[in-house]
Amino acid sequence: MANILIVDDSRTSRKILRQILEEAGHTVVDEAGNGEEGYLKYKDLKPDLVTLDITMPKLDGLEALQLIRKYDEEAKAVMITAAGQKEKMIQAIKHGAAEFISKPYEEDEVKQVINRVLEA
Amino acid sequence: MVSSIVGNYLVDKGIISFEQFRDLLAEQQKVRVKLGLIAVAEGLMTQEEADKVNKLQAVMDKRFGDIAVEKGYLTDGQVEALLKKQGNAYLAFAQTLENQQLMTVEQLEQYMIDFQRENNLTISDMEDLKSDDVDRIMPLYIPSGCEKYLNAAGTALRTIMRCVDTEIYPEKAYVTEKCENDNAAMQYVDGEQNITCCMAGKGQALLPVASIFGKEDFPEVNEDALDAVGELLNCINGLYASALSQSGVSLELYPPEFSAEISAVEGKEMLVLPLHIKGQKVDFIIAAGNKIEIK
Repeated sequence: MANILIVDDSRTSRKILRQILEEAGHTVVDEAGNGEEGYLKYKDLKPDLVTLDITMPKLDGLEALQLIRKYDEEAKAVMITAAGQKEKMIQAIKHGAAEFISKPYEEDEVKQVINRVLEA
Repeated sequence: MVSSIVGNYLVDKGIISFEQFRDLLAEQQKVRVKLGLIAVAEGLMTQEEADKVNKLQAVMDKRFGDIAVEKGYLTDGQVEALLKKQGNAYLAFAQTLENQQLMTVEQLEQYMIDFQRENNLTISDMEDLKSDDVDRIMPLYIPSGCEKYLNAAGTALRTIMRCVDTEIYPEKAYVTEKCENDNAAMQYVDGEQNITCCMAGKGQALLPVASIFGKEDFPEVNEDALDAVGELLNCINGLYASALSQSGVSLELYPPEFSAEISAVEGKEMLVLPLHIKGQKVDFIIAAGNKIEIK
C-alpha cells in the first residue's frame, strides 16, 4: 500500500479519486488544487506516487510533471485526463508519465493502473 | 428517451398522472434488458468482453453495438439481431401502457397523431422519434441551419443519459445572444473548431445533476455542486474532442469555470437546448466558433 498525492483543480474529482484509493488500502497524504501547489507538496511530502490532472490552472499537469521529474527522476506519476487529449498524453509520456487514467473514473481501472505503476 | 418524451406529453395533457408515468418507467426498466446482457446470454460475447465494451463507452461516444463491432466481438448482423431481441423502446412503452390498463396501443397512436400535429413533425420525423436513437431524435429538436451544434448536443445527451439520468428528455432548442439563469458551469474547448459548453439553471435546478454525477448530497447549488457540473462538462467535451480527433481535428480542453450567482450567459450566438433532468429544467448551452461569458 502506498502514500499518494492527488493533484486536481476539481474538488469533485479529488474526492471521488480519494475514495477509490482509500478503499483500495492506500493513504492519500494530501491534495493540491493546481500544478504549482502539487509540485511544492510533492517536494515536501515525497509520496510513493502522484496523480496529476492534465487540465489545471496556474501550472497544468504537464508542467507540474516536468518540474516533479526534474526534482525526482524516479517519481511515479499517473496522469488524469478526460478523453480526447491525445496530444497531451503523448507529451506526458515524453516527460516520463507512467500511466493514464480517464475521467469519469472507473473504479477497477483506477485500482489496476495504480497497482501496475507501484509494482513496476 | 422516446418513453420520456411521449410519457411527459401524456402527463402534460392530463391523460395520465405523473405517478402513473413514474410507475410505467420503472416497469419498463424491469423488462428492458441491456444489449450486452443479451449478447452474453446468447453466448456471442464473454462477460469480460461485455465489461470491456461498457468501460470503453466511458471514453468513446459510441453505442455498445458499434464498439463491439469495432473490437471484433460481434458482427453487424449479430448486433442487428440483438437489437431486435432487445425490442423497440416505443413499442415497449406502448405495451407497458396497455399492461397497466391505462390505454390501448390504438389510443396511444391517436395521441401520437396530436403530438405530431402540435410539433409540426412529418411521418419520417415520427419514425426517427420512435427509433429511440439519439442521433435520429436530436435533429428534431435543433432549429434548421444549426446543424453545426448537432454533434456536441448528441454527445452531451448520451453522456448525461449514461452518467446522470437515463430518462432525460429535451425541449426545442433555440438560438439566442442571452440566456438568463441563476448559476452555471462552463468549459471552453480551444482549436480550429472551438466550442464552449455550459450548463445553467434557475434556483436549485442543477442540484440533481451535481449530486448524481458528484456522488454527493449537496445542500444547494453552491460552488462545490457547480464544480461537479463542471467535471461532467469536462467528460462531455473530452468525448467530443476524442470523436473529432479521429478526423484529425485537435482540441484542447480548458479548466471549467463556474459561478453560483449569475444573471445570464451572454455571447454573440449560442444554442440553448433545454433538458429535463430528474424533474428539473436545465439549459445546455453550446457556442461554436465564438465565446460566451457568464455575467
